[in-house]
Amino acid sequence: MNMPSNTLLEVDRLAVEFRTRGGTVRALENVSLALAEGETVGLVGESGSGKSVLSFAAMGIQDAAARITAGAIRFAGQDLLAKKGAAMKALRGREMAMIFQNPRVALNPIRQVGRQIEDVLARHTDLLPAARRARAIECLAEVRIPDPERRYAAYPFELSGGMCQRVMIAIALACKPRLLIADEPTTGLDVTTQAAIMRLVRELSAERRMATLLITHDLGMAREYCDRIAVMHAGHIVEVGPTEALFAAPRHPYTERLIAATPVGAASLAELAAIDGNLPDLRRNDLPACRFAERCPRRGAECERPLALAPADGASATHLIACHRPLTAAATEARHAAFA
Amino acid sequence: MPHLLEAISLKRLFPVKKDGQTRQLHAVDGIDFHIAPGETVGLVGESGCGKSTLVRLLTRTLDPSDGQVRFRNRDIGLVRSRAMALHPQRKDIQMVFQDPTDSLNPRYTARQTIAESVRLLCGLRGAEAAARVEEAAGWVGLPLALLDRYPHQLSGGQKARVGIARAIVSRPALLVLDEPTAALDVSVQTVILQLLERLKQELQMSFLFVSHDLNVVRLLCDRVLVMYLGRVVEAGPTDAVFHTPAHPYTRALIASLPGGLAGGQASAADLLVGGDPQSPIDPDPNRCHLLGRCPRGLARCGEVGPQLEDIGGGRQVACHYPAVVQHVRQ
Repeated sequence: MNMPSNTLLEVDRLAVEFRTRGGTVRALENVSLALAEGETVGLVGESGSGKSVLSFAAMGIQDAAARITAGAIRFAGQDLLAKKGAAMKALRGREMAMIFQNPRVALNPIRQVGRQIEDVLARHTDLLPAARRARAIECLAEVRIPDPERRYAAYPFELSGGMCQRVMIAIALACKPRLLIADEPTTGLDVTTQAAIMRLVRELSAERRMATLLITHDLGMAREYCDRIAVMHAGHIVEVGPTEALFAAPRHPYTERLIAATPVGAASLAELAAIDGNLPDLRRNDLPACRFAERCPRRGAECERPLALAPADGASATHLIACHRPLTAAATEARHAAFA
Repeated sequence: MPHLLEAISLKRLFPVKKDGQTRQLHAVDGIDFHIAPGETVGLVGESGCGKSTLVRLLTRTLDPSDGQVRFRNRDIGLVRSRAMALHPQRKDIQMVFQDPTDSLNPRYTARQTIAESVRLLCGLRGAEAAARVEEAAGWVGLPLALLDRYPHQLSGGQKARVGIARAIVSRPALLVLDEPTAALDVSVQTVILQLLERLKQELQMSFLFVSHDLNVVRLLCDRVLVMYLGRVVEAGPTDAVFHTPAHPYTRALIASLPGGLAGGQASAADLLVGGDPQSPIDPDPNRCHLLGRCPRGLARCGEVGPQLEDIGGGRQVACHYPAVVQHVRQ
């Protein structure tokens, strides 16, 4: 694939497997995704589709049972998979950072939150202790935590969920990373806090040209905050494209079902349509080329053939799908026009 | 129509120690509302606003500090929560919990879980009880073959069905649902929501639906209650409240919905200012709880605490300066 010159992260035909007692789980297969500087890309899909596996692989923090069996991950032109532990540690926290799903679990419960920010600064910068403290307070202020001097000394249990989430964002952003991976950064937060946190991430990525990978299963949020969206199903990326194009005219049947199942914008409960079936068992040896085929209303004989992401007919070159029997742009546009 | 459930000036305080003195945390701070037979009422509000405490008071697993919980015109708030388990009305108010995994006994099969309710609430045993279990499984669309499985052998959607079957097997008049779909994927959430809607019709239950997913509340509920810091700040028919929210907090909630209803018309003037809510510990009763976060916030808001007042159209709002509501709909 031709990438624009300002590509920051490039995941190229990545395959990840987990060896378990029950068999080999083929968690990711032939996954390609690129992020440019300053871009926010949403990664959506059901639980178990491989969103977190992909982000953990990019950060080099995958489970001990995980094996990368094919593909490459490049960050600013460097081959991440060739890097040894120490070299990855130098990148993590400084160049690339991650916000985890549950802030209460991800923070150290017995360390003051300001200290936890200082830990990152001590690891990656030459700042002296006094300067580190000042910078940590500045970081807390940057994520709009009121009264940062006082909150510096707070323990996670003394802060609300939204505040803990902001602390985690402050830790992730302390060294001004070029890439932020946000794994469900606002799950369990209220809409008002959620909006405040997402606006903050958006401001920071605009200010610093930071690239953001936003992992979520909230399609409404992905639509609001992402430039592009990649849809995952059972370890494959099935569709990727500019947000508006993808919502206006989804071309992969799975994307279309996913949008139809989302209550955002629906006028009545009856209008929502469930997706039939479940994700296939990824331990199976006879997984079909298209892992959605068994749930797909449009399945046909050609769905047995090998499959790769390719530009959708009649769509821009940046709108890719992995489907032999895609929906036509006209059909989905008409359907969505009926909703609007 | 007589109310099925009615809360009158319901309060629950929790003592907390701070700087050596005991003070009171006002978790539920004087709430009045009612649920009519067959009605679905949504309860929304941010975490920590007292939703769960209110639910525990209504389901009588927690005793109120003050006020009444009237169910079919009897004050069941007077029954101690410990005695409620044996109370004849226990089977009429049932609950579906948030996490379908955590709320099922891992060592009970689906059948045992549902049968326990039949035994304890309906006093049935043997063949009669077994028939009730299978009937409930039928209502929720759980294949009988899955009844002998343990929770870890079931999918999230199937576990949610077991949790619902357990709650409705005694044919309650009121079902309290605490974020029943929060732990589920969108595709499964849809199925469960449609199932609930159907059950409500078939079994003629009332629902109290607690959620912070406003989009789900909008689709499922007839009326909505918006809670903020232990109080109801706005109540009314769902459509009206979502289209013309009157309270600044409700406006902020709806304006914050991503890609949803407000879709583009959200204006910055609707959003809350500042970060965290005031402390619920000994709040000043002569001050609006939203003051400090409210985009309006005028002098009077710091002098007189607003009370919930009727604004017509079945709507109530607790604000000195609510947004103007036009009753053109309906």
